[in-house]
Amino acid sequence: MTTCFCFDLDGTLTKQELLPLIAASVDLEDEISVLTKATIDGFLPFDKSFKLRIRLLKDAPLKAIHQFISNVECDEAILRFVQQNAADCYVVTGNLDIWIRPLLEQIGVEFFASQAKMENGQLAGVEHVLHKGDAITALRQRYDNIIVVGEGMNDVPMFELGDWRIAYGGVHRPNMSLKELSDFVVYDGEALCRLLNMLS
Amino acid sequence: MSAVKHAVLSAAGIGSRLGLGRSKCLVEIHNRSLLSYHLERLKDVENIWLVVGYQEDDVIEHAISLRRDIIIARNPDYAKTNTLQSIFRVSRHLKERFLAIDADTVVDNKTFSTFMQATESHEYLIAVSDYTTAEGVRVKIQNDQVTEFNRENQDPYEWAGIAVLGPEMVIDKPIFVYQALTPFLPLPAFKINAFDIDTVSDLDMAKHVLASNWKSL
Repeated sequence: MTTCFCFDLDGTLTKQELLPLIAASVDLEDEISVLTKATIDGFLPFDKSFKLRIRLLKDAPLKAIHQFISNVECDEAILRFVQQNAADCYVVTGNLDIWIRPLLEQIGVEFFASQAKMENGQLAGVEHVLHKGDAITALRQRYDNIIVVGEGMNDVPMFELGDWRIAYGGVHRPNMSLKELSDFVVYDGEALCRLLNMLS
Repeated sequence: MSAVKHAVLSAAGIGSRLGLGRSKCLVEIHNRSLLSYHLERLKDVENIWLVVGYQEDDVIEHAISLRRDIIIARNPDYAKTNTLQSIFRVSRHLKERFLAIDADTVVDNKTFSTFMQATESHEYLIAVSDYTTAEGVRVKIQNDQVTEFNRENQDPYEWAGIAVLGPEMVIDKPIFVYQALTPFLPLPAFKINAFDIDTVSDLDMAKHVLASNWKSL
């Protein structure tokens, strides 16, 4: 049996959400948090909200964003697991590829992410918002046991197609719809890694 | 650290016979939940699995406030399945023996601790108790081995809902745990003070027994 592990990024592998960090760098924290809340509360679909948030943040200097993101704190236990099992671990994130690439390359893990639209070397918007289910469909050609770990509403499509689903509450309480689809709920990084080893 | 690396607590059921309208593992005796007593007793066990179903959000909330590294296994089919199938949700992922405990049991810490010591010399172990309840499953014992489970109320010992088992003993079938264990008998028996709370009179007995530190029957 071939097994792979798919992790959400913001609030799962990282102990902080990345968009608010980026927003803080250009003094748009409040604006971004209103949009994030509207998405979490179900008033605005994720795709629209994400595109809007990127539109607000597109002038934030890329170098500064990379600096912020490279300093973000990761869950130590999960990071260790990902690095020890790098060949079969994937980060599946709705976040923007150009923002997170340096962090994930530094970790040494492959990833699926939303694609940035670039114009003259500048971020102009979103080319493609990742539907997390598409990542699982792509991995299905290579793996017959797919274990998914996430915490938010946009992880639901990944949970619908995964074989073993773990709702993770290490950073904040997992989304209720996601929990309803899960096989396991875990609130501690070390316990999560012990569980992952037992499911593989 | 305990010689048994995994404990599986089953807390998915509705507990309709008790009629309190809340998960039985949240029922309090002397201001402490049954779950809190269990988790304190199991503090040396490396992996704690808690199978939840009925009122799962309340149970999860309480459980993680007591022990954050607990692994919650969900049984959304709790209304149509039984304890054996709840245990199966965990045991199918295990490669070694584990301790199975019904979360609706009251257990004497002292005898439980000797039971856990006995797991160092027994691969599998069935806890039996002489605290008997109206609807309990009785156990026939010969030469310290459980040789039969029955519901005829003739044998002096009761199945305590606590045992160290191998994953191969647990199957995904709508039968009772003791029925699944029957093909594996005889299995070593170990006497502890414990009983499960199914009815209001069991709950009353639990209050008396804990107040008297397991001296009254």
